[in-house]
Amino acid sequence: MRQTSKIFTLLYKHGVETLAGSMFIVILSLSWLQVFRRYALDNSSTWTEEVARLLLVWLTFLAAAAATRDESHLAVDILINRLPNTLKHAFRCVVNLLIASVGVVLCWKGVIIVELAMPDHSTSLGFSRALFYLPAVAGGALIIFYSLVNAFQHCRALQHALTNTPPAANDDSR
Amino acid sequence: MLFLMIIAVIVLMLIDVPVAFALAITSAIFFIVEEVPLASYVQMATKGVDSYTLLALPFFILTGKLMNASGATDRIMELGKAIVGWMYGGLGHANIMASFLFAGISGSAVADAGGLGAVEVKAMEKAGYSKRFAIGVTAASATVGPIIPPSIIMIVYGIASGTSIGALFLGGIVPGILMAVAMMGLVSFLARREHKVERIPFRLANVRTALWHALPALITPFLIVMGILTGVFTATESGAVAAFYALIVALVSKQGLSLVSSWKLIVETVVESAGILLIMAMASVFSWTLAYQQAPQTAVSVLTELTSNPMALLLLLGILYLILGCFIEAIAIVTMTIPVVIPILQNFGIDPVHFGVVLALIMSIGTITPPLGIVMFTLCRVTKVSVPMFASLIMPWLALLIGVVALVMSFPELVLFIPKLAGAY
Amino acid sequence: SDYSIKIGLIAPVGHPVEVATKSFAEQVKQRSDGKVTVKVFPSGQLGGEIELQDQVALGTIQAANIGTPVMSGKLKKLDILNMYYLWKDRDHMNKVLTGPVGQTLWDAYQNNTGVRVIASNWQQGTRHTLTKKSATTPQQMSGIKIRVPAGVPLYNDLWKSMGASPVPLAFPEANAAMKTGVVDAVELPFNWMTKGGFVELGSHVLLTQHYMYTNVVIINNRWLSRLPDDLQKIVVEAAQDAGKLNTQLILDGEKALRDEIQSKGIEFVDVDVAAFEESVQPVYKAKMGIWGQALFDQIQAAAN
Ligand code: NA
Ligand code: NA
Repeated sequence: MRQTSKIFTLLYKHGVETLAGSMFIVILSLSWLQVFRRYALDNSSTWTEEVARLLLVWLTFLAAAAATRDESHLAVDILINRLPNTLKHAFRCVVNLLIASVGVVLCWKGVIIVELAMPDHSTSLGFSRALFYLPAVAGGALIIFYSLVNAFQHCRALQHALTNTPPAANDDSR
Repeated sequence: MLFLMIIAVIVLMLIDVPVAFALAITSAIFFIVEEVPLASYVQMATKGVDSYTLLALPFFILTGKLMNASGATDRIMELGKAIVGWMYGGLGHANIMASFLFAGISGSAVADAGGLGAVEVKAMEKAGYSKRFAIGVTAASATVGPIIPPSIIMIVYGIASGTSIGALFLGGIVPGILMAVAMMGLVSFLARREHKVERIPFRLANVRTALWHALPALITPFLIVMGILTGVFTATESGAVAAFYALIVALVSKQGLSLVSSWKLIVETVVESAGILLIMAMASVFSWTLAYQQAPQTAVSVLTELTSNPMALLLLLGILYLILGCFIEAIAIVTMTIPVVIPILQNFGIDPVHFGVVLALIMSIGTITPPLGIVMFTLCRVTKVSVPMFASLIMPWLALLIGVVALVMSFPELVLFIPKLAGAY
Repeated sequence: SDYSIKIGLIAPVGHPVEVATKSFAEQVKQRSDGKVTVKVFPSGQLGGEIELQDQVALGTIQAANIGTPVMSGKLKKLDILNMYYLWKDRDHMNKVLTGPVGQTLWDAYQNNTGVRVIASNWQQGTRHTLTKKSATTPQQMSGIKIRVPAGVPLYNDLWKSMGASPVPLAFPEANAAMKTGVVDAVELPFNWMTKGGFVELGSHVLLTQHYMYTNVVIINNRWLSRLPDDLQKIVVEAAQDAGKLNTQLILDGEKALRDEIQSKGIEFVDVDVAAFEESVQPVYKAKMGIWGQALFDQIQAAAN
């Protein structure tokens, strides 16, 4: 039981970026291969570029979800930092709900474009072009999940602040 | 509608909604109000990051991080001290020199301010310089980061406008040198007010040692520029080569980067890049909504009615971008507006490489302008200085840098000279 | 107006496609007494051809003008239109694509996408080869590095069989690559040779005439069928009339452009077209399964 929750925590905290980081290593290797093949073997390949592009799109939406979880997206926090703690949590809760709404658009409407592109084959390797739009759907779903968790945590912190009870020890909300 | 949308973005940003999501929410509302199918929204967001050229972005971010981890920051600072530390206001000059050299391995001003900046301010304060002076030099010199290649903002502009990134990179060299020279001039002038400052004696042996230590880092810009100059590789490939080289340096350097810490840097790179890429994705949706409202056509007709002089137009655009740069993040601005601006440039016969470098300069200055400059925030945080105080101390530097922009704007050859020489343009 | 069409294209302002699309807009408005209006979005403002095609399918925009190469993504058979030396001449191409063979293809395409092809006579400029040295046969192409669009293996295969060494590159990098010697040749229609600033970089134009293709006007069929019959007819006819104008502009432009290029001291070389045509036959054999022998035979039969 504790083992499962440990695995879950690990997945929650590091899962997406491990996946995205691995993709980046593949991209990097492919690009080196590309440069090497072009100049050492005088023979450039057409498929490396397509795979690298596909992985870059996946990496973007996956790692963007990680940044959503950590609330580390580039933002302007000068105004909010001057607010008292309670208001700060209230605002952050609303902001996370707004972020979740973008996740909803990406995930829900992304499915339509995935369906539309499903039968199309990509120019180089001939795999389905839907693979390029799937990251938005997956990333959107992750963004919904993480931002709702964040919103919930801010709400709880707000509730604690209002009832003057100190927040629970494991509350790591910012 | 357009005006309302820009207001909405700024308001959302002010209540701490991340830049990417402020753009995303505003665009989504447009789609819903205009009854445009939101599936196209997702497609344009994806299209915004589906680019092979864009790979250069994480490559250069990783290069900078690896170089930092192998101690390049300190060594470059030492080299700066050894070369120009003996001058009046020595650490100020060294500060600029260091940023200039660091610019060759990093693609953004924030990387400079966040890495080098903290070290520089501390060192200057310790040597007896005033906080105002130290922060001013540090902030201003950070803006050279995206002008000397590599440059993230030039990559973004190159993709948005279809301009060769290699040519843009080469075009930044002369303006970058101009910036450094101008800033060193201002240091000499301002340093006369700094009294209790120790001077660093000049020793050739020091220069030699420092140069030797900093050499591995200095090879990076050389590799990038020479690769593009000779046509051996494209900007994207130069990113891959630079990252490969930086990885080797990091793994064999004295501090010896472990595989675990390399992995950590890769994860950092990925998350940081994704932040920028998501901004680009959402900004390209926003840009699509502008096109859908036929903003490019409107802009062309309004501007051609206003003036027919390319110089006047350039000035007008410059001022517009300077104002925008005070409020909205640079990558978002460029991705959003360049599709609108390119037809205007074509109409007026303005060179897209020249314009791109001028734009990079202006966007770079935007990072140190209140109220929403990102380098300003970074420095205020590490030095515990308030935004109003920063606003007052940065004024002479802003004036100087705007002067440099005016110069580069007026003489396109300053930008185009090297790309033409190299035949890359 | 009662109905409004947004039409997207990637052609820049002043390009024959854009000029003819503006005329299409005018004609539709005039012939329908202002009941149907057309807004033109040039220069790829709304996206590239793949995105425009999807936007028409979704109903984001009503129409688009796209090249046939991109359509093969939706109907694999159409890949045959990407082949070099498929057409005997422009009449052959026009006869097939606006005739019953073409209609069968467009119907299949509409079945897959809900997007209808209303005009397939928007012919584009013939592609030739700009090089730094002369060559007249596939044998002499040996060692010439030529830029091909990145990520399309077919072009790689074709140029390899034509004797050259293909180098896949993104278009914005092509100019610099030609200057710095990463490539020695580019394959483009005349208008791109002059507009992209390529002419000064080469010395010979090899008249390989390897590729001829057409653009089509596509329209969302759900939207079109909601129009009263007379208005539908007006839209379709105007698109085909504008297609004729486009082709005329392209052909006139080619003559003028040829003189312009010649005036810059570039030499035009008449190559052994038959030998080049012969050299790509292995590619036809290898790809025959994709579009089927039947379609290939039908196209061949129409050549006479
Ligand atoms: Na740089
Ligand atoms: Na500095």
